[in-house]
Parts: sequence; C-alpha cells; structure tokens
Amino acid sequence: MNKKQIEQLTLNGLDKGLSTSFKLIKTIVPFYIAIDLLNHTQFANRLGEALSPVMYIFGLSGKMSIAIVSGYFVNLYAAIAVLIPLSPNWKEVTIVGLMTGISHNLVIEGAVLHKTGANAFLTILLRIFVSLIAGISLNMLFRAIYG
Amino acid sequence: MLIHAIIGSIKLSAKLILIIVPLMVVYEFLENSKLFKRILNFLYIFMKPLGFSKEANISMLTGIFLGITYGSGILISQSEQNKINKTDIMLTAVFLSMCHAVIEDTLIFVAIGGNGFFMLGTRLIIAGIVTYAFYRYIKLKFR
Repeated sequence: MNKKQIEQLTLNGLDKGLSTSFKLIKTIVPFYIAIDLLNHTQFANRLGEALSPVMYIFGLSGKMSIAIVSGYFVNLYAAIAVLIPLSPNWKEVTIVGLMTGISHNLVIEGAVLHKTGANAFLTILLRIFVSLIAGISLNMLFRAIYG
Repeated sequence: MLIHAIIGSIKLSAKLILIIVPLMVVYEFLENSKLFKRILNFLYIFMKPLGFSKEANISMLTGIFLGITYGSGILISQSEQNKINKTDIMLTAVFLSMCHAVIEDTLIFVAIGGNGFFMLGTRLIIAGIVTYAFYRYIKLKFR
C-alpha cells in the first residue's frame, strides 16, 4: 500500500464515519429529548409497569419496549435514542441491538426486498418473529452464563 | 429538565462521533486489504451447506457487509440477466432480510456499550438456521 492509497482510505473512512454519525445524530437528538422528557411522566411509568412482565422474557425493562418498537418501525438510530435515557446495562444494549438489528426499518426495507421478488409481507413477519426468538434466546444465554 | 435532555443528547452525539469515526477508518482499511478477500472465501465454506450457489455469493456478501440496498441491487441485476436461479434469490432474500449491514449495525450498538461478539454471533447463527430450514422446505416442496 503506498502513501496515496493510505491517504485515500483514511479519507473514505472519515467520510463514512462522519456521515454515519450525522445520520445518527439527526435522529437521536429529537428522539432522545422526547424520551428523556416522557420518561418523567406518569404515562411512561404506567406503560413500563404494564409491559414489564412481557419484557422480562427478553431480559429488558418495560420501558425498553418503546426502543424495540421504534427500531422496528423507524430505524436503529431511533432505537438507540430511546434506549440511552433509560440507562441500560451492557446486556440490555446487546439484546436490544440484536433484536432491532434483525428487524428494523421494516416498511422501507420491506419495499426494497419486494423488488427482488420476495414477498414483502412474509419477510416482515419472518423478521419480527425471528427477532423475538433471538431476543429470548440471547437472554436465556446471558442468564445461563452470568446468572 | 429540557436542558438536562439537551445536554444528554449532545454528550451522546459527541461520544458517538468519537467512537464511530475511528472504527469506520479501520474498517475501510480492512475492507480493501487482501485479508478481506480471504475472509470472503472463508465465509463461503459456511454458505455452501445452507444451499447457496457460488453465484449468490456476491450479492450475499455485499448485502451482509454493505447493506440491503447494495446487496439487492446486485441481486436484482443478476436475476434480470438470469445469472442466478430462483432458489438462490429466495434464500438470499431470507438471509439478507435478517442479516445485512452487520458491521455498521453492530458498531453503533458497541459504541453505546453493547457486546459485539454476542450481537453478531447470535444474529449470524439464527439467520443461518432459518435460511437452512427454508432451504430444506424448498427442496422438499419442489423436488
């Protein structure tokens, strides 16, 4: 690798890194502020309490269901923005990352996959189903390893 | 309270830039190295038993590493030129719908404290299992 190539690769990397970061920030700032404010309301507390038995099987707190749903319908950045104000531990971040990683941005990506000839509705159902199974499995694995 | 939220989001943004930019620079070097080609060849060992042919390899690996838009772009052009059969298209769509742009997705969650090994490992294994189940189903049905 010569000096010019190294220069070019560094620039490309910086460019990609910065554009990813800015995409992230554009979604994160409004979501983060909204959730941080919502977090202090009675509504969020009640929703969290109501959903906590369901979210328990994923090893997540009730309020983190909002992060999963945001990830499913919007994108991963929205999921992160919702998750951070809830101060998650590393296991919770990993489980949310896995679940929303498998199943995110469903509407738009469903349309993209539809163009390849795959059934959009079925791929969406499949992704949600697999994501739920994955979340439960990883939580079980964590419980087995870390107690 | 609003100020607290704004400061929190600015801190998070700064942290993400500091972590993601260097990671992307490193990944850019890896992607253009000889090692990366070896990794791709290595990965085909695992894709073959799932039912993929060598032709599906390009769109699969593009999709896994770069994203579904690029991956399915290649997939669409290949299918229009009849370079790839129907089973491959279906399997690629199933696998890629669950597993695409895995590096970027994983990195942004690693940036906020997640464990990349568990995220990537579980995702690849589960997508592999589902794709294999699908392959067996197709084989059974259209034999």
